[in-house]
Amino acid sequence: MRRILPAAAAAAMAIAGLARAQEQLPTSSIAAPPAGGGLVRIDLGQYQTRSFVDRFGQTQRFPGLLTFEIATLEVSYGVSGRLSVGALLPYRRSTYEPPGVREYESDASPGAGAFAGVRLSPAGSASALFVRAGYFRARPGGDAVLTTSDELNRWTLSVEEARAPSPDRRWDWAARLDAQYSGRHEGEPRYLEGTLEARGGPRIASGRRLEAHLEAAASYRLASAAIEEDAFFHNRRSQRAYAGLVGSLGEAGRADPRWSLRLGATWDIAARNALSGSRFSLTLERRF
Amino acid sequence: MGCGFRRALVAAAAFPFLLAPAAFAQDLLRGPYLGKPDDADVAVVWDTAEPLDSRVDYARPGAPSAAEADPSFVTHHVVVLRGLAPGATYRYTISSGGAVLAPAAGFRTAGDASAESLAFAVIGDTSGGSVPRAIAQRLLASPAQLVLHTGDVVYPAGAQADYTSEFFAPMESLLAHAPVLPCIGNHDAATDAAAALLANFVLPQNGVAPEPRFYALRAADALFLVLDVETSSYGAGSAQYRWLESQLASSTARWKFVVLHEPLYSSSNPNTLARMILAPLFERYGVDIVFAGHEHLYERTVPIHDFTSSGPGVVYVTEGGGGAVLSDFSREDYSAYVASVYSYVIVTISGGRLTLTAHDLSGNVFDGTEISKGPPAPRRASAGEAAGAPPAPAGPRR
Repeated sequence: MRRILPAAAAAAMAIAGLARAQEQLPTSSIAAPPAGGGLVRIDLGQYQTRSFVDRFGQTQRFPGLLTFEIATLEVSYGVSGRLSVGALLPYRRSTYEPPGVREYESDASPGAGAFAGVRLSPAGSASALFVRAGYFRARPGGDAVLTTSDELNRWTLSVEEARAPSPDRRWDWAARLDAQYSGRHEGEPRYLEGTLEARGGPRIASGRRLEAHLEAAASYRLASAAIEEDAFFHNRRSQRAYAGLVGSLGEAGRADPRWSLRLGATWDIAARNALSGSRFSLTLERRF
Repeated sequence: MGCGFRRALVAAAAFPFLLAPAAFAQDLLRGPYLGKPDDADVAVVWDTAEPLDSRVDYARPGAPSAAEADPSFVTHHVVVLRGLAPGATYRYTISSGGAVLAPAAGFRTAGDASAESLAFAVIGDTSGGSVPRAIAQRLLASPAQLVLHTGDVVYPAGAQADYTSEFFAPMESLLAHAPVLPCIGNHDAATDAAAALLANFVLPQNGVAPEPRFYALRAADALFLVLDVETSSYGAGSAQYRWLESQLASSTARWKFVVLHEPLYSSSNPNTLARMILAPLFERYGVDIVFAGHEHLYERTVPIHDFTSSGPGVVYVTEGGGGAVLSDFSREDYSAYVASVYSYVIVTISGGRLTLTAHDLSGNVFDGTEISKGPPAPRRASAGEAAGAPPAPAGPRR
């Protein structure tokens, strides 16, 4: 009994909470594993900035470079053709190099989460519609200058519609809406965040085994506070948009490609009470 | 007309501040209150209902009186008293339209750069009437020669229409006797980017921007740098950042204080952005205490250096208990003392010894600390200078 209880508690924590990564990368997507199969995804992202744009639109430059790096491992299992469950574990490293002060560096896991996803569109349709609900349990952080955890235990709900993979696709596109909610933080009663992301573009190369797409990507995010990259900057409403490119490489001619690789580069625009920088990201997916 | 009555008239003309309160005209809407156009001078300010001329009669005890007058007809009167003796007590009266408008008041000038003693107060987030009124009464009885205000002078939105009822009336007893030097708070900035605050207070010019949204003041052996993190850019390379670095680098003052609205370190709601941009500068140039408000509580941190609370460093004090609804907090590791309490702070400096005490509305001391230090270190080259960058905007060396 003493063995069963902790194991049951750990399992309950893993599947009762449902989540997606705190920081959705431009190359991420809500991919579903095949029924009875699994999917492993690795997201790698590096975000660099030297400035923060305040609520009046004034650029406040940091005296040094800020670099935020994140690696997220996501594993999911297809319970059926429609339902999947999974868990994710991000790891973050943040560095700041102001002159005259020692370089500040911190690295740790921001926490862990779990999620459940449902595919709403019927098999064989031209587009795939997914809904994913999750919970992310944040690790206690503290008040370091660059935290690796924002200490926000958050509920998330994501809806994504994407062009279904097919042998004859010439265009790829996807659109996703994310909503996040967290309770009390830094004296505020709640934290709310909404993000709308879209990307689309043509197939630029194809062969017998591989095909490549190049997509334009754009996003708009509105949040009740400037909490970014797991760091708390300000308690006022924050917005940030980005534009950029995402290139993808995957198996050609399969409705359920076993693997894919996406590379993205995006630049922030229209930031208000938010960081403004650039991001490089890489996502590798593998279905089993 | 009898001889005695004539003598009384002559005496009244020579020393109008001796007139009884019953003689005061009803034209006075606001004031008098004091401003600081620069390190040495004091401005006397008042508002009248009708456009009238301006006159201030002033004198040190036992010394002949002097007068400054402006014949132009205005409703917002600003008379600058120049050539005041440092570390001296003055009495003054204000007149407009030939009538004395208020009882005589007095103030004490701060010592010049050679003086080693100074007392000042810190208040912030004044709201609600009764709390600011109580604080004003306490400060009036304190040794404070000037009062630093950490911002959010007037709630809810810094509107000119609210200034009299929310600030000038409750603080009236203090304002005629000590200059209040505010920094811009987010509530002050909510209406026309703090236009009312800038119109009401007489503050030192900074030499790099058309308005004194940020400014410096030297009093005795202390340098005060009042920053604007609400309406002005303060990022690296901005005019304010370069000005700040220039002031810190060139100062000969033993004690250096910074005042800004949002706390860099707080158990309630820190401004991490300001921390990342400004804290390295404060540490590099040996700022002693950074005063902030915004959070409606009192907090004092341990000394912080390199973003960590180990060894000597900068002490961060949040004084926002001036009457606004008190804030919740969750005590951080770097906090030496934190309490949601209506409060004010008194700092006294005597040579190389600084004493800070935090007081509740009854005047009781509920927190305090002391800092001791030697004479200021020789001036170091700034990072920009060391790198051969163009010099920061020049200002008077303080």
